[in-house]
Amino acid sequence: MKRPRDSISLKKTLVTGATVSLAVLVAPALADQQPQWRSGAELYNNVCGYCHKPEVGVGTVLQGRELPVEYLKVMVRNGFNAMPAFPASYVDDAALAELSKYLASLPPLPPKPTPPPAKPRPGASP
Amino acid sequence: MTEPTNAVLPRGVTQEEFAEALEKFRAVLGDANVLVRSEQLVPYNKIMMPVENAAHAPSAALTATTVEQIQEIVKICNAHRIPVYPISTGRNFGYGSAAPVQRGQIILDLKKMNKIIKIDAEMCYALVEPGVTYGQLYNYIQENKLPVMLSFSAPSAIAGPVGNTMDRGVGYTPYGEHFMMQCGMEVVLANGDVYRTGMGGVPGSNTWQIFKWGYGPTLDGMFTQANYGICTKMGFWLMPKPPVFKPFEVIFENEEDIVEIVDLLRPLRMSGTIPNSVVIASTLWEAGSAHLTRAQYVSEPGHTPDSVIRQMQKDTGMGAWNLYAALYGTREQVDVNWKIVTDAFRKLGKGRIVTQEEAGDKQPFKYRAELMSGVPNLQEFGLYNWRGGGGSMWFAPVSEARGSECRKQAALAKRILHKHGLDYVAEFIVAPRDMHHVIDVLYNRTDAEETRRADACFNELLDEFEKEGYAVYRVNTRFQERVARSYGPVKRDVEHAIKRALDPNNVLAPGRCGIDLDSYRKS
Repeated sequence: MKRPRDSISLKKTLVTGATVSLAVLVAPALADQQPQWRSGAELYNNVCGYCHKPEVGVGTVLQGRELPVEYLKVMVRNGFNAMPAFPASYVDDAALAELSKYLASLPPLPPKPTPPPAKPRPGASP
Repeated sequence: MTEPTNAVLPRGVTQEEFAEALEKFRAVLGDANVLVRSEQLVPYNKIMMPVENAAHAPSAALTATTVEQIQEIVKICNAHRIPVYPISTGRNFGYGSAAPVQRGQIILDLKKMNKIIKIDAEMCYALVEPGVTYGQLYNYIQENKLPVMLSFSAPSAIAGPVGNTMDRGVGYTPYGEHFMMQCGMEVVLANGDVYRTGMGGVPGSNTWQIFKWGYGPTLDGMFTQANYGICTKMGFWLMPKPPVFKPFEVIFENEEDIVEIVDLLRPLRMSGTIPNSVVIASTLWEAGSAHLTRAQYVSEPGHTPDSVIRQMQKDTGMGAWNLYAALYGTREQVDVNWKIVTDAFRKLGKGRIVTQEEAGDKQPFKYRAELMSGVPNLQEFGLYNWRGGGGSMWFAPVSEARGSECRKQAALAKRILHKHGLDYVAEFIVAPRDMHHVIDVLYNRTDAEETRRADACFNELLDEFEKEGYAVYRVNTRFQERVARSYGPVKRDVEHAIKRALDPNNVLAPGRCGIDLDSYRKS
């Protein structure tokens, strides 16, 4: 989607002085609006993965489970318990399709080892 | 074209009137940016509050990409008396998320306005649009190797600075009081005018993000936690990245220690020895963000008994209070301040200090250190798994940074929460003089009885704290009218006088923070 560039960004970022170092310091504004997410990996690494990557452990692990895009869409649009919902302005359908493909390309987690015996729950009753 | 019947309508607006307004919105935005189908609107209606979703259901959502479009939208809203609820990224979890304050309001979703207009790493500021997220900013700073650091709240990666600052949210770095670091905003007013605060009205000015005050009345604050305008650009200051960052934790065994912790911290914060927004987290906050769940310890309903919490402390090494802070600066500065800090705790004779070297990648130290150094993560969402079920409300009374006051507030909150079968899951966010006493009222929203209890609990928390002269600094949309009453009638009269002057048709988010010309009556 094209959108007009902001006059401030043009004016202010062009006045960056002569030196290369200053040009780096005064970073240019982003170009015209990009496609929402460049890939499924980018979406996963910048949104979903913050909870759902195996090493994080906040949300259910998604990788390698071949979750169909329809399933992802229901979860993302409705949310589930504490999982927030995301409208299309944040994550559009095309990005979800890419996400589904990307998740399927990741290896599934190895089966969990047998858990140790449950801890006693001393003092469970007041 | 035959207009389908809308299931939800704005208050006092007929189906025909609404259809006419929607056609005008489509002319401005295009069909794809006027959302009325239920499957399009459902993401805006996911809430964590103890009330039916229907109470906060939108009638439509608009996605705009330019200031000019927003100017046109407010004109249409005025012409048809359509109430419009602007959101930036809609990630205000526990405060209402993306849902409108009143049923039937249309959402104005600004997520697609996601341009980082400027980052000036010499003058250390940013100017952004509402849809920019902290995660986006972080990536941009990293990719361009800019020597600056962000400050954000815990939903950092997916939330954004405009929404957080407009709600006067806080973070964990030395720039953690975000509204204090805001400098210059652009606001579309209800009449369609575009107002720039501070130096922003001066043609050719290059100090809009440099000097906050401008000339005459300084009105930035008037637009935060309010409904007088739609913020379309915001400037804020960035902290220069320090050469040395030294996070640390101090673990205290007993609940009563809060008095000494706070009284020890206050002078260190006042003097700037510890420059950042320190956190003092309770055991259950620590537990939730480290992936412990209530079900691992307790199967009975109700609050988690103190005996279980003490057992959790023994099992895990967590304290009754867990203090996280950091030092920033050159090696010499950090070394000097580290000596002052450690000497202070040694003199107190309490508190086990944990450094980054000792903690390694252990949670929750790791995510706390990241938040204090401007690295986004969502680790704290582990709190939502503590009890499960997706219910969360932030009860956040302001406290003096005085130990006896913190103890009093903690005891009062815990008593009320336990009475309603819920847990005290809290942190104090420490400024030099004040504390944000942030309590996550967690409950199972899929359990109707527990949801009713949570609602009653929140009401009682507000009532009982008010009797002691305490009030919250921010609250979810269900309780905004109630909290507005805590601050007295004159303030409300002034707020409504401003509303009448700037938005006489009451179209901008009526009800936000209790400001609503239709329902407010001067006392």
